[in-house]
Amino acid sequence: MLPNKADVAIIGGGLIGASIAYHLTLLGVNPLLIEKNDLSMGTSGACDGMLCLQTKKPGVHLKIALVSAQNLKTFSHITPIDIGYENRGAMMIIENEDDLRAMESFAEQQSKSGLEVSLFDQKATLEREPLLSTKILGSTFSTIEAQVNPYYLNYAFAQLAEKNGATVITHCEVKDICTANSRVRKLSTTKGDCLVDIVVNACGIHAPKIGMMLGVEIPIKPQRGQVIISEEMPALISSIIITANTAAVKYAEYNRGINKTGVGVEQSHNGNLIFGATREYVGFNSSTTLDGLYSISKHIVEIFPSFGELQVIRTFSGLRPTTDDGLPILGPVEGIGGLFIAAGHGGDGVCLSAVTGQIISSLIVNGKSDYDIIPFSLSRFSTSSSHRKC
Amino acid sequence: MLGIFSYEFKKMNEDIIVCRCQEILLSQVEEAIHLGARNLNEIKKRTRAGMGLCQGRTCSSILEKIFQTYLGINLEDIEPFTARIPVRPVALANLGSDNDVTEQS
Repeated sequence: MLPNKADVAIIGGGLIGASIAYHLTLLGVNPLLIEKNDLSMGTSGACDGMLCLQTKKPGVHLKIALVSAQNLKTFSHITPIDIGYENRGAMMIIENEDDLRAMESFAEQQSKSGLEVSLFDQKATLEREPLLSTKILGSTFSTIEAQVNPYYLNYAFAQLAEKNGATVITHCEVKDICTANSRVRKLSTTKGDCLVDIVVNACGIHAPKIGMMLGVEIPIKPQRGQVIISEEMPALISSIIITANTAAVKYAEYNRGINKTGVGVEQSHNGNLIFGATREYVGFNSSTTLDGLYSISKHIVEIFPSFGELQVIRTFSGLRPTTDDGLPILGPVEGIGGLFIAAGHGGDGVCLSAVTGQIISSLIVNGKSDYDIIPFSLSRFSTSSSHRKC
Repeated sequence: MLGIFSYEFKKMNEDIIVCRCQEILLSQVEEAIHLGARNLNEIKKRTRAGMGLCQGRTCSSILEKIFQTYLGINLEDIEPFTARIPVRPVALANLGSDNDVTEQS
């Protein structure tokens, strides 16, 4: 049952909300976590589980990703719930001379930010992944990258938070939030009202909708990623595989509306191969399309010719909560006391989940974070706020 | 109607397999409902029922019956598994392509 008051209410039971709930309990706060469906039914339940660092922008983005990857490794040791953590390392496949030049300079920048990346020639690449096409030129490889089962991680954060004293209410939709004396004051939900001191908006692609309840504009747009799942197979790859043009698609040309595909392959603990993903701006439409799927399957068969015979059992798509600069929005919202936002992680939510929980819980409890959060502030975008009173 | 539909889940002494592709047991489905799952897609996330080769074509009707029994939800009100491409397994090289690669080989 929904409590009638809470010190901290987190809206959104995806990976980000659940991680914040868990990290708050570590600092002695027992928050309320509210989710309109079941846990992990949005973006967190429709993604791959790659903790990939080589695709992060060198600088502050890579810095917090490195912390988060380390924290998730530590978490995998302490959680009694299996999160499917496997430290496989990630390989970025270089397919042409342009990629090669780009990756040489990218690897150098990554090393400066603390990510050790080795450049493999074709022979070393094929030794590690023998099923790759002999047409590829080489790869970059980093050992610290890992994969998890994203929804098991989501459940683990939520269950441990609950065990530590948090309250988790699912199938409860927040319909309105109102303020008093320029502070958040009350949530109105489908399961009743709740008086609150602090509200965290961790609603991912739906964060703008929650923002509008308080007159806060949040520039997050859903970006569709279509994914292909194969039948269960014995181990066919040992690493996480990503094509080098993924990094270029993500950062070199952060153009809205251009539907480019860099591809990635991951083999899950169960043996299914996960092939992804498109990057499309089609609103909240989460269908899969033959054109989108073909853009993935075609590229996969180019780099792994024998994978053409794998049986595809399912396709799905997830909607990434993206921002214009590719960084999440983290921290307090200026002008409304007690309101925090942790959303807009794009395709990096799994990787950044742990550090996001750490940053937001520390901001709430200690009023500061160990990391420079200015690059992640909502105020870096010119947005408006005009909140209503209770 | 299938024999399974006439079983009374709550009165059974032994656990049964609900999803044969992923070998998911009734007790695991009960646990997922206990943890909060309220529709087929939520059960799927929590248990892997419906994630195997047949993609829920066998277990979805059994799962619906379980929901009806445990939560008192009418069959017609139960949200089914999200329908997705492909209808049956298809070779990766043939997905979305005009060429039937496996037929040629």
